[in-house]
Amino acid sequence: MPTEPDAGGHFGAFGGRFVPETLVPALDQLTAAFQEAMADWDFLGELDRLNRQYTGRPSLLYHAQALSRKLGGADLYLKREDLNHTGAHKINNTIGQALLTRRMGKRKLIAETGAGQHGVATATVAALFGMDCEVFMGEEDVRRQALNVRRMELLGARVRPVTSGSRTLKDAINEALRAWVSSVEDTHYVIGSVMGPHPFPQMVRTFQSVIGREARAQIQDETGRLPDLLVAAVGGGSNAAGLFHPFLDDPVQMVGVEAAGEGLDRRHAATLSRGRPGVLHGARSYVLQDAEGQIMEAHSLSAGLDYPGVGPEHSLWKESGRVTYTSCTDQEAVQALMQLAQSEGILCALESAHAMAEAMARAVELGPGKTIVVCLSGRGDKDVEEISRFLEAGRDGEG
Amino acid sequence: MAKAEIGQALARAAREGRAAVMPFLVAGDPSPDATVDLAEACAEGGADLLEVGWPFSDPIADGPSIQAAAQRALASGVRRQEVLATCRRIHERTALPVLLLSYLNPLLAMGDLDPVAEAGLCALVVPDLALEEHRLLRPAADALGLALIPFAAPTTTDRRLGEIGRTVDADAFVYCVSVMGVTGARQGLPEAALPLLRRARQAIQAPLVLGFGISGAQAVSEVRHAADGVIVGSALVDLIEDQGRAAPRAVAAFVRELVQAAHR
Repeated sequence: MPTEPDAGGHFGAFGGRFVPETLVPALDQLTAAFQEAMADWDFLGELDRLNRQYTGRPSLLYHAQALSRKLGGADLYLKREDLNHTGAHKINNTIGQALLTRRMGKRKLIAETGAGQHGVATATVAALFGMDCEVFMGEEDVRRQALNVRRMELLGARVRPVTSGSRTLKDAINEALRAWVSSVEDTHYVIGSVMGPHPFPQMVRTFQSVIGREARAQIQDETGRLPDLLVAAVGGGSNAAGLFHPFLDDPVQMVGVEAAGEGLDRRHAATLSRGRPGVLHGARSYVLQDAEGQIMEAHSLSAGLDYPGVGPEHSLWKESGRVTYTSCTDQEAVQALMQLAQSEGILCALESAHAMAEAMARAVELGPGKTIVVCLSGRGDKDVEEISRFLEAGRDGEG
Repeated sequence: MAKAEIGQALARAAREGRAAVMPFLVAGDPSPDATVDLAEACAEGGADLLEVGWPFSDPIADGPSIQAAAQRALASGVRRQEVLATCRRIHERTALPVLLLSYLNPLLAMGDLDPVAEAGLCALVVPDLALEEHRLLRPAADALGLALIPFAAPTTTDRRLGEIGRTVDADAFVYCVSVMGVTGARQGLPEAALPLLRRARQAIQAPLVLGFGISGAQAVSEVRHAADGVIVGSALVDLIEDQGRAAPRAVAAFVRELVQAAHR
């Protein structure tokens, strides 16, 4: 399996560059800057320094003994991206892109955000690098992720609520792309996942691969061998791609977990499980769409997974069979979140809870003596209110 | 070949000493029947070609006017069948060349482009299909005699303009984007328009048609020597929304003004 795309950014039949002509020169410039930077020891040294001193890397690989014992199956190891500065894996990518922005001589950042984690991570690096920052966020997400909206504002960013379409992540990306077309000469669009036009899928995965590189070394230090299974949540798919990519050539199974929302026969965000190949937001990949190619609205309690597209490299991994993709409902995710919280004292993000639900089920299936690495992509503070509303609605439903 | 109609229409306008005028309508806004009536009004006003937009859920190259028009059309139940039937009726009633503007995904979802050709359309204008990905549609478009219209933008380098010029179908044109930004009427002629047209003229043999941000007769008059044609979309969509039942008459008058202004 090729581990890098071709010169046009194609991962097999997926990826590429499907954007208005206005953006093409900026994408060429970005591709060149990225490739040069990756061969520049000064750039890599600065990235590494910020990862260590600012983000707090390496993130811990934590053996969740209590939970593993309770389940009576495989040993669960949690890659603690929730302990990064700003509370999620998103900062790995935004630091890299901010360094590239500076390298290209641009001073303004725009970003989209769903759960707000990428918005916060972008606002954070904008503050750190002295750059202007505007974040597009669906009005529905502004409501359900109010804490992160306030964080972005305190960091000096402007949050632009998006009122078109489903008022969630998809529409925030549309609006960010439109804003970028109008400002591309002095502005960099910090895409938050392994999606969008080339070079974004490759570039974001490269910056996120620090997760997998660390985990691969840490698990071998800890157990003396490679893990049996990796599990990560997949919305756009950046934490999963970051964890999986360094293990692609290893005899390790991988599972990506999508959001099944209210269930796969109802409203959901399970793009790889239920979508078809199509073109959305600059790349060819799996897309949730109707028979005539109109994009469908996704649904997940988790704002970060509430997206009808997915990164093109995941589409390749699905078609090649290298990675298995499954899904987990809102209900299952909330249960997993509470089980992790009450067994280990770790309150994870709703996104990460999807991975936890699958990992706990697999731990029981695999049985003792096996090891699983789960990407705990973010922390759960931002979700506390949304979970309370969900649990209350559930109680009302039963009453 | 259907695409020969484009070259003929551009040549006729040139013979008459003016830039060609190509109004843009969103299929099904406010209804399929109304779109056909509005297209007839454009023809009555002297339009040379017509561009019809396929409403899409996620139109990333469009500003608020066309976004809202597409949303209205989709919400009223306009689907592929209505879009293509509307195009066919427009072609039959006006005898003008009709170009289809569509984002890529609805075209890919069809599986092949036969229904586009069967609807009497002569070209595809796909705003999210960069030059590097033309190969996705090129074989089918060629087989059906459909032109695949390339774009040039203010950010396009001279070298790339040359590449774009080499891909244009014999009877077609290059769609020059007059603004750094999305569709939507601007106050006055966008300042990037004339510099782009000058650079494109150096690098490209094919006709140049200017679109995005063209608000009315004044802007058309300013580019009538530099461009071989103009596309007016958002301004028309706004007029149609504003005028309601009186829209056909207002549209005919507006297009007549544009054609007047296009005379050199």
